[in-house]
Amino acid sequence: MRSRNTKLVAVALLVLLAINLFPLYVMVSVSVKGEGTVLSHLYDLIPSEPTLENYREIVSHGPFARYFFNSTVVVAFVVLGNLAFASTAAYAIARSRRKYANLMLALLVSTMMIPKHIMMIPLFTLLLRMNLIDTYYALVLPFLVDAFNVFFIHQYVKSVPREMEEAAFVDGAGLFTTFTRIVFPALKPALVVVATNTFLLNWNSFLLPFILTNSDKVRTLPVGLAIFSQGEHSVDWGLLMAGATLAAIPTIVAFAFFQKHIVRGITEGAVRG
Amino acid sequence: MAQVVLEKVSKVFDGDVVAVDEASIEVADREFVVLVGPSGCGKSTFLRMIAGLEEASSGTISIDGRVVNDVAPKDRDIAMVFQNYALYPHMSVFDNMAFGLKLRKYPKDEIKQRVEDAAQILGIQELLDRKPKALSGGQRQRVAVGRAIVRKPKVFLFDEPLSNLDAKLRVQMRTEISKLHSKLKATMLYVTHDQVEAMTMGDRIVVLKDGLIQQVADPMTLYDSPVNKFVAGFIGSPAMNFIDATLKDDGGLYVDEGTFKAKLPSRMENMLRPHVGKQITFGVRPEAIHDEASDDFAGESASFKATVEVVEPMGNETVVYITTGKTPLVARLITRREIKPETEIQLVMDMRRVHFFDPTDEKTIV
Ligand SMILES: Nc1ncnc2c1ncn2[C@@H]1O[C@H](COP(=O)(O)OP(=O)(O)OP(=O)(O)O)[C@@H](O)[C@H]1O
Ligand SMILES: [Mg+2]
Repeated sequence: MRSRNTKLVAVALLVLLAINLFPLYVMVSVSVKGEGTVLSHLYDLIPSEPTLENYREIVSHGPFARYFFNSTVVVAFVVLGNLAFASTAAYAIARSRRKYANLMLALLVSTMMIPKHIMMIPLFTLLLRMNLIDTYYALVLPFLVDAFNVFFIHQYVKSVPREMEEAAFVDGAGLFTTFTRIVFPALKPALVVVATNTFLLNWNSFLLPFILTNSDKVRTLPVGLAIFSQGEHSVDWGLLMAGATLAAIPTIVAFAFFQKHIVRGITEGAVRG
Repeated sequence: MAQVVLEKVSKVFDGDVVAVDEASIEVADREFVVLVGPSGCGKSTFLRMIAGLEEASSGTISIDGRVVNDVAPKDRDIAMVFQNYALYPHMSVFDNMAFGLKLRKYPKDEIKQRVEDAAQILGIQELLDRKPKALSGGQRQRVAVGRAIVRKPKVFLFDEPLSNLDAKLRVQMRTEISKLHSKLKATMLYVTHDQVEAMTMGDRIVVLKDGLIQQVADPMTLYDSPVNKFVAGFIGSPAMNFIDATLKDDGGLYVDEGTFKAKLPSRMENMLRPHVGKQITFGVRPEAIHDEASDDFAGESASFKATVEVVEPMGNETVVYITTGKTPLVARLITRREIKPETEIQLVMDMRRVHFFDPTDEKTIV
């Protein structure tokens, strides 16, 4: 019985894996097709004459390195910002004994119900008036803290025993030291999740960065790739997919890396009685 | 030198929950004071106000002659051991213990020396590199105590530090903390809801109920002369028997329970005289009930018949649950005689050791 069940589970997992990996496979296989063969051999799952031409082209010609750099800078600041602001805000709200703290959290959470796209035009106008369109600021500032992250970390802070902080106070730590030395490390599992989500969300973000930039100087990878692979009348799919493959590498690496930490982080939760 | 003085200290939560009500006490330097009381009586709040983790709503708290009401916990020079240990999970045992010293910028070798000394005292030298999650409950408890002692603070505060340990370990740690107290010569305040811990560890015991201090006394005084029915019932195990009775004057004073009647020692007469003809609560400890009178109290004893309900032989003694037909009682008999349930038994009460409480305010009459 038991081994049959595990076999069933394994089969189900394999099917799921195949479904999820298929688009990735298509992306990679299209990226290694030679020029002109993409459309004529659209349904060839295994490229007949694989070539790295597209990769060579994208790395040597277009401002690919610049996009990559821009993405890295923007996402780094956004991730750090979310870690710093969401954790401090969540901690302050969770540990406040004042009644309005809960109201603040409720207000914050309610902002998650506003669709992002409704805020697009006001955000654009605002940044335009601040003269920030087509700068890093436009890509970083609006994304520095996400209400969901505050909410998520808040829930986690609630599960951290308060006595641990009190022990630190008695040990001689002030509020800041207690936060940085005791609370922040205890939030690690939540922080890893926030960092991973924020990274994925922003690394792949297209629409807002597309609207908020005009030049290659600040364009991020998804935006840059879309524009670069756009010919006069057609899209160079091979080129686009090569870029997308390269862009996906950090995501995959980061995910593989963080996943280990997520598991470890959770099993390392706070020690109680 | 560290005296802890509380003057009319109260704590009111959210405007209406009075957790501690005008508590006043002077804890002498090097004294071991135990706070005991049922759950929710305000013990933790009491301790937390001394630690500075909770602000007193009124009254003054002073440590070592300095009023500390507005002093942050970190500047009070106290250490606290929490019920659930509250170790820092991401730090090794060494770092857990060294944390307070590092914050106070002690030199590295002194930190090492102090942590090792404390580890030596507590027998946890082997564990210094481990993380808290790799420790057993008893080991965590030791680390928590170690974290407190490395700093050599003026005052130690313990909030039910042993309640998460198994019975055997609890007894062991109890004596270790007592030893630690005489070794460190420090002032200690210790919270527990376990009256055995209170009796065995405290120089003095503070009994709390509903935020009010009921009595402050050394263990024997508390046991022999409780000020009210609550203290009498809380201290001692099995608890004191309480019997509703009427006081009668038949030539001498008698207490009449309905099924039995007992003459009172003459020394109690003056105090009890005003209560003649009234209801009274009559208290007797289980060990003041014997299966036969011995010479030293034969003159002041009362014998009565009871039905045995449950027998708990302990080896050295036998705890029997009996009923007089009207009142259930517990007796601790030092006897090797076999006692069977559902039999009649003849017992005697040592009338020198009975207590009387006013049923209206529950205060001790005598
Ligand atoms: N932060 C708080 N807000 C409101 N009420 C509180 C708070 N902390 C404690 N109380 C209340 O104060 C009273 C005393 O609580 P306290 O924790 O001091 O009791 P305790 O004697 O330590 O109990 P236990 O033996 O269960 O630990 C309780 O009625 C409790 O509900
Ligand atoms: Mg408590």
